[in-house]
Amino acid sequence: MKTPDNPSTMPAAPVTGHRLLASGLRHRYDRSDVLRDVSIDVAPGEILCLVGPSGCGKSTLLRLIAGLERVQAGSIAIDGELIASADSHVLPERRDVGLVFQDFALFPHMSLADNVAFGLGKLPRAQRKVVALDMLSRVGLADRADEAPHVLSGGQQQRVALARALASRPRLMLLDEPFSNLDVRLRHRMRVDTLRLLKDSNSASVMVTHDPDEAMFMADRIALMNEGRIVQLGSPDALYRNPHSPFAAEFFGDVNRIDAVAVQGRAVTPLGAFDAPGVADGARVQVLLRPEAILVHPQPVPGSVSARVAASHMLGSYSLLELTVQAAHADGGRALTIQAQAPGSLRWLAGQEIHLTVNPAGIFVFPA
Amino acid sequence: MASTSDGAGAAPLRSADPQHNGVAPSRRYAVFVRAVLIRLFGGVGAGGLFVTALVALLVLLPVLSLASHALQGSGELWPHLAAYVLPQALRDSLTLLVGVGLMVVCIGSGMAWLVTAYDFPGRRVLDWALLLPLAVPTYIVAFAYLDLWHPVGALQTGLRELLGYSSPREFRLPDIRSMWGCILLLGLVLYPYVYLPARALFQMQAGGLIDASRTLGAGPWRTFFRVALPLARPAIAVGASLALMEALNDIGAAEFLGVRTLTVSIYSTWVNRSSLPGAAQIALVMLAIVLSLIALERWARRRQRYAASGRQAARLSPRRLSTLRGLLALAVCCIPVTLGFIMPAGYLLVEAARRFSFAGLEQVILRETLNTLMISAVATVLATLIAFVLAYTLRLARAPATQALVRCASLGYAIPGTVLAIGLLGPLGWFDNGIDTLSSQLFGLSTGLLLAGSGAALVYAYVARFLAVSSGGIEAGFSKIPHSMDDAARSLGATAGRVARRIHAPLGRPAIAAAMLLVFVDCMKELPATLLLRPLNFETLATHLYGEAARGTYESGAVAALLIVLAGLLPIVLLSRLSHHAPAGKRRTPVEAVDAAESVPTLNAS
Repeated sequence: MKTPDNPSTMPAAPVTGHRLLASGLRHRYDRSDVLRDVSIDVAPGEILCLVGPSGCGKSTLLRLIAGLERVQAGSIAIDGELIASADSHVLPERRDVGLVFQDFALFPHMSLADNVAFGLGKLPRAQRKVVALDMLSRVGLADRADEAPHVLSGGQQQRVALARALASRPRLMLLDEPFSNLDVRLRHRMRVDTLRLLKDSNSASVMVTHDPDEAMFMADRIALMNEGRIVQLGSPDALYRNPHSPFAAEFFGDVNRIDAVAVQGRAVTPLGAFDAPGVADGARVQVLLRPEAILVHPQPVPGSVSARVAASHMLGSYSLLELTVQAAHADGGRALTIQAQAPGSLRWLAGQEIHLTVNPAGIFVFPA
Repeated sequence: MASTSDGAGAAPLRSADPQHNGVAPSRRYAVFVRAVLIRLFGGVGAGGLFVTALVALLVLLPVLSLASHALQGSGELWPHLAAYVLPQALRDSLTLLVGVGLMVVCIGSGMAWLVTAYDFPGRRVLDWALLLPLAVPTYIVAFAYLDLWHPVGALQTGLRELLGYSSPREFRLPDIRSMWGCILLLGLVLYPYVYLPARALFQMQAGGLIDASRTLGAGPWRTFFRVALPLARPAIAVGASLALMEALNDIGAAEFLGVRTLTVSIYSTWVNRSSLPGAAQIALVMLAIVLSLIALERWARRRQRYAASGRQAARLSPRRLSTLRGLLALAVCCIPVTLGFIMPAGYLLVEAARRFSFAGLEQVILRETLNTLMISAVATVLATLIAFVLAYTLRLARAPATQALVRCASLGYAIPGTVLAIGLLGPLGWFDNGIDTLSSQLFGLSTGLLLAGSGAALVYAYVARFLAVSSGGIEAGFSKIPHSMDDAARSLGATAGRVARRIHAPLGRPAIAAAMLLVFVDCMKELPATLLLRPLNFETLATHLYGEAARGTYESGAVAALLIVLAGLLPIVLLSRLSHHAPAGKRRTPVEAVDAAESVPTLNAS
């Protein structure tokens, strides 16, 4: 195995990164398919987030890359060098891969410095200590190097876990729901810190999360998974703005769902008609609208539709409104309830009449 | 096909993975075989798997040899055994099991309920004092009561004085050398096997449900019989089956009290008639009873999942009793402690002191203590090492075949000591004679009985029998170490062996130490296998006591018995520490906080 960055020299500047390539992975537990033909590649310095509902296979994919599970079909390579396939399995300790766990997995019987130094077995003893202290200072915990893990707060433990994984300059960083054991405020800070550390290290990183916000914040690219498949892969922007399926649209944000019928390439709804290219006349479609794509006006504006506020929830910078839209005559006069976001600077009262326009960028039409 | 955004990425992979095209048939076959092996055994190293398989084989060897000996037939002895020995032995053993079973379930669950559901004077002391009879092995309680209960012994003389009788002819208690005496005595020292898990369950798991039952208007009796007892059924079943295994395993008490159980019959068939096939035939019958006991236990805890729902239930808060009822509860709880521990231990203490002042510390006792400590220490270290490997192998490979192998390796606890020893005699003789012949032919040097003569056979039996104790304890300790620790260490470059040394050995240390203590004391107390497998003229404290009792010279056995009881107190101290002096104040790592409930299965003493 060739390791271009000899850890004993440990340059401060980022070295040439490494590339991960996994292709055609299939995996079964008992009798259920956990992964069905999954392929990913991660470029040097890139952060790829695996997101999806629980049971979608994202954690299994991470464990396969780490070598904690054996590959049943398909292959995994780092820098073109095969590390796992159906008939070859490089042991996890030989993969040179850093792993950060949901529960941090700090060794309770070792000091922080010893924890961080654990993976530096190839270095001479004196240098291990130096590198460990250097890593701890990068996460702001150098002065607590001799303490035991259990006296630290959750966020501090997380930083030690990160320092430990990064200390040996692994070819690849894997993070398994690293923030899910932290409370909400801390979580945001840790995202910022972790992102900086990962980018500084210039390693290719794969992070598993079930939290779409987290994925969008951290990722260069997101692989959205469902039922053992990658259903969409792309930048956070692309996944949010251009979802390929109702599943993807709903995963990354709340949506209003309106059933409609296509007429001359347009889906007709009480809120207006929207482009539905290539859909046959009379076919049923579903129209998904993001709440922020619905613009609320106190007074009528050109092209607006009137609606009534059913309930209003003040959420700080914006108010979440539940609106009732009277359907057009053609739809039999059924009332439609939708959610919209309105500026928090204005007061919205239940029963108030308001007027809606729609931003076409937040509207997605899919065949029903 | 999933969406790889840039298809060019697939190119370098193919060059790295050349064997996919044009695989030779033999290679494909090898790949298939390896896939099947991995499926069955998981990713265990060959070393761990080999040790596990070897240990499983060695533990099962006595059973296999037993079957083959029994199948050889015992010639003309069989009709005799079938007509005169087996029916009585079966009847006696089954009567004993039923009687002891009833006693341990009633005393064990009743006492557990009293000390957990009610608060009364002395409850805190009784809480652990009720465990004390566990320190008295069955043969010692019988040994003590034979003298205590003697018609002219202290107990009956005192009772007669109290009642105004002057001689044993006017008044005497029924003879203890009988079936009911045996049931009573075994029940008195074995009930803690039920008491311990039942108490843990009432305390830890049943709290909320019992409170619910009370708020729904059920009185204490109704709550006990309708809620607490059904909830505790799995725990009681586990405890009772352990107690019954002990009763079946017992040789001393039954023999001293004149009850001809299967164990006694096996022993006398071998010792008096020198018929290995005959002994093996009875031993097989006994194994069948053990298997039905295990099946019964499984059946009785079939709905365990109800009780074992892992929620952190509220601890049961005991209800304060009125003074009168409190004193009554205290008196009731004192009965088993007094009869099962204070009386026999007090008797031994007095007798030992008398002996000591008369003869001083005898050389024999010193030598035997040394023998006992040495052989127990060797067996303990060996059992712990093997158990560590087994537990770690199991952790590495959560695969069905590996698990089955490990389970096989810890089957020894279910094999009664006499059965194990009889099963070992065949292979040992064969091995020792083989080595001797070989050595004589090659070097003109007789090795004698290499295994049987050196005590290695005894160590083998101890390890086989108590491996479940150590591996159970170590597994429980390992289960507190999150798997992410292993994964983290592996991904940081540590090999499986280094992970075991750096992570599992230090983190598992409390569990390993506790397991070592339990095995050590079990070895010290072991009698039936020791009697059959010890080298000539090698006496342990237990065999010394047995010999004295067989000769009817009780007083000089008292010192040996007292030493065994003192050793037996050590695990009880450990147990009560684990269940009571829990975290308060000091911060513990999750690994240290082993709760007493989980150490129950590891407690199947000799």
